[in-house]
Amino acid sequence: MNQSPLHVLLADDDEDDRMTFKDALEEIRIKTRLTLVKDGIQLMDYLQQDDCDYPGIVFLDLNMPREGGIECLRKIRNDKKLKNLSVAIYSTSASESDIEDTFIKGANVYIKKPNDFTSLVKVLEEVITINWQYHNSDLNRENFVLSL
Amino acid sequence: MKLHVRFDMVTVCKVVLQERLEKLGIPFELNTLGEVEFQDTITLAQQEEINQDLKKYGIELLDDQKTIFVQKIKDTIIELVNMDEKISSAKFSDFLAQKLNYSYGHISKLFSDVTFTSIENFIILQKIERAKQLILNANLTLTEVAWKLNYSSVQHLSNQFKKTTGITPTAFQRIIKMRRLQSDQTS
Amino acid sequence: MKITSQLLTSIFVIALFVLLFFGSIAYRQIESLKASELLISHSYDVRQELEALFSSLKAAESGQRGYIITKDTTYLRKYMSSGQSIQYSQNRLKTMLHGIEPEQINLDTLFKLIALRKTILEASLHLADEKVTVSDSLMIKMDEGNRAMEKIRSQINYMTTNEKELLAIWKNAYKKDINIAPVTYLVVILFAILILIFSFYKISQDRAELKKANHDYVVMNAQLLFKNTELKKSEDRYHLMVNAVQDYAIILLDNEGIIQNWNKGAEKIKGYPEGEIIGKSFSVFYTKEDLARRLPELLLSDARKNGKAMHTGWRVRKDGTKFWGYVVITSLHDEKNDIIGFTKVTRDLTAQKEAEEKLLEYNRSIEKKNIELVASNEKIASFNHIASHDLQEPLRKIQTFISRIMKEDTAHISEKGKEYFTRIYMSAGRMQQLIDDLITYTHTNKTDKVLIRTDLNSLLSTVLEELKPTLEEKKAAIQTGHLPTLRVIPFQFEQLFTNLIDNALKYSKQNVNPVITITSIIIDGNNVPGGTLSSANKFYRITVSDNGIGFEKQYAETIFTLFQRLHGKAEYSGTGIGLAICRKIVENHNGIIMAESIPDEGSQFHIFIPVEV
Repeated sequence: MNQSPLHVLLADDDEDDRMTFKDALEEIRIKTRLTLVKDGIQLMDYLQQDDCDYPGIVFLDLNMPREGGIECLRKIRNDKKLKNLSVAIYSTSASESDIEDTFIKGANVYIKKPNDFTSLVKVLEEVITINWQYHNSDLNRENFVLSL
Repeated sequence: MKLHVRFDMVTVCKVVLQERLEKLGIPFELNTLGEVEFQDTITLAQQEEINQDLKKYGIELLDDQKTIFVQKIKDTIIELVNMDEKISSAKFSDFLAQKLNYSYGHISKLFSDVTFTSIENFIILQKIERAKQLILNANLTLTEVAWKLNYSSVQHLSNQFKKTTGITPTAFQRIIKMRRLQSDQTS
Repeated sequence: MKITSQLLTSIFVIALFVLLFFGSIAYRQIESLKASELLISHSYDVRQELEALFSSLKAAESGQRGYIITKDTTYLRKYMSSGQSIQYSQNRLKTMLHGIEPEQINLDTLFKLIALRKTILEASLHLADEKVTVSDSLMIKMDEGNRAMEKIRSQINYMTTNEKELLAIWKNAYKKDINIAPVTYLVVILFAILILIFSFYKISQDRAELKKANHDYVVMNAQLLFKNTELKKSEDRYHLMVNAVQDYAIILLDNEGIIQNWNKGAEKIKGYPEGEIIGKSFSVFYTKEDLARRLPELLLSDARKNGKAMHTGWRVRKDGTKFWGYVVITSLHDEKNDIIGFTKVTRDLTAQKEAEEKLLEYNRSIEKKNIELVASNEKIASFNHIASHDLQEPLRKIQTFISRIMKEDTAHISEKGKEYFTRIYMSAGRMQQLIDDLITYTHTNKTDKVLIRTDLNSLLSTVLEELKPTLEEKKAAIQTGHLPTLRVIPFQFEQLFTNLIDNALKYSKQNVNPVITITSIIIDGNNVPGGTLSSANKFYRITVSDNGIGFEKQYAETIFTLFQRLHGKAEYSGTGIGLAICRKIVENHNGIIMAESIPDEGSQFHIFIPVEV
């Protein structure tokens, strides 16, 4: 396959989670390259560079110091250049209010961080595959909603 | 104020493709399913020129035979799912095999090799996508959508919707409505 | 048409004058008619007498002639009687024409002529007596007599003509009068008739009015009499009533505030018997403080000025105890609008005041509780957040890392180590379950969820669809009756059914396929056990029954309490939150959930939800 690997970005303050995410991402069948940031501020700084290498999908932890996931989501959706990024919320919480709230604010995917590694690999593979489908098929990005 | 538009990507692409290629002055024939047939053979440089020109519009030249074939499969599925009339109860597998002139097994294997997802999943994804459209744009009830997309029951549709998107059709409807309301307010 | 008496009077006066005027005209006409008639008849008489005179003169002349010729004395006698007739006619004419100027002169001339004639006649007669046959002197005398007779004749003729002329004049006048008179009379009579008719109409009208007025007066009189009696009765009744009123003190005060009248209510509220209080000032009911600020006087002057004074405050009973009184003082006026006294109505509102204060206190406590509730809700929300994020995070990591060890490093771990890791993993899983259930439980608290009319049949089928794997695994049979359509929070009701069915599956008997029945009936509010939260008188009773292990009667309540478990964890899984969530959900819908069971035979969970009106 000569497809260029999918650029994935994860914003998460937890080092363990970043590590686990990285390991899991390496196990999926689709080729990816990963950029890691530690919080919302770093994320926005990264995305607002002039020569930004835009990710195909952003994974966003909700509970982060300095600037949380919700705030980042709001900023992304209000930015003309970033508007069309796929945003996956990557959170410990599975509370219904968090899920619906983030979807309303424009998240495409909501992932409750699974509590075993195998599930995480499975979930990531599914998200990235579907996201890829939305990228290269005739699928309406506005209707892209996925909760795992 | 805000206008919501819906467009047919296939038509858009065809028009753009036609315009660009005409500009390059190379005689061509535009076939269905994303195929451009040139009357003469074209040089690599010409190919690269076309590629660069079309990239601006998000149109890529596919050079890999497999990818082209998968795109054909996808297009066929999309065409089938997006028909205005009720989706026929005939099986997708038979339809695909007949249309693409390959055995379904071959088609299926090729598809998952390239896309890392099964053709069934893709069909479901497309059907649910179509269901979303029908729920949101055509204001059809779930019963009507289920009938149109050839689901055996509303329950079946709801379950598949939930499985595919993680949320129920009603929650989806609510979310999108709220989302539009919110973006209307901010813009 | 209404005629005022003034107009009427003037009409009558005018009519009277007009009548008098016409009357006088008529009278004058009649008078002149009468006069004309008299004159006419007088004229006839005169002419007649004149003729008689002339004929008498002729008779005398013929008698004289006969005597002269014959010397017969018969003629002489005739002559003599004619002389008497002449004298008589002369006298009559004299009287008739006495005072009538031209006639009298004419008559005098006539009489003179007659006298001359007479003399001549006498003389001739005398001559004839001397027996001289027709002597010359006699002849002369006879001639003289003829001439005199001629003169008399012309004189009489003249006078007769005169009279005739007069008669013609009078007749004319008479004729004129006679012509005018009927018109005048007609006018007068018509006018009189008009006035008569008008008067008759007016009088009959007045009579009718009078009659009606008279009737009205009689009726009014009767009514007045009746009303008077009623008034008297109602006054009596009023007095009786005022006297009998027990909840209100109704007192009559004079201008100075001295008590004039006392009712039962006053005695009951203020404690004074009637005999003891009448004649005293009403200020005895006021507290020292109120007296010091001259409240009684202020209230009276207020009532004088505004007609009414109201006040609420503490009042003193005879025994010195106080009551919370509501007082209305109203001023009483006589016809000249002078104040003659006051009524004072007092109500004892002590009980209400106490209740009010209790309510106020209750409200304050509720308010305080509400604040506490808000605070605790906030705490729950923050707990929810902590539980969903912070508590789960380390736990999830424990699970994740163990899962990685188990996946990647099992080769280097001893069997015992593997077992311990499995136990840690299970424990972490259980902890996770507890946290998840707790979140669900606290989440159930939320009252801002919207009630939606939901067909419970389709809601239940969704639940069963989701539970399908477990149901199949347990080989459970589900029997459902027809369920109602209710206004519910859909996801909570899904949770409710899920938990109850889950519970039934969990506590099923080993080796017996679970049979779960879900039915609904409508029952009377009276048949709802315990107190009802709603005033509805019809309830749906939705029952979920199973054929599981059941429980002892004494646990029927405790199973709904948070973290209460009847069985060891090893025997039956579960966190002890499921049924607590069920109770909370049912209570959120104003309902009641209760359980009954026979151990080893099965349990029944009843949900009572009020039927909407």
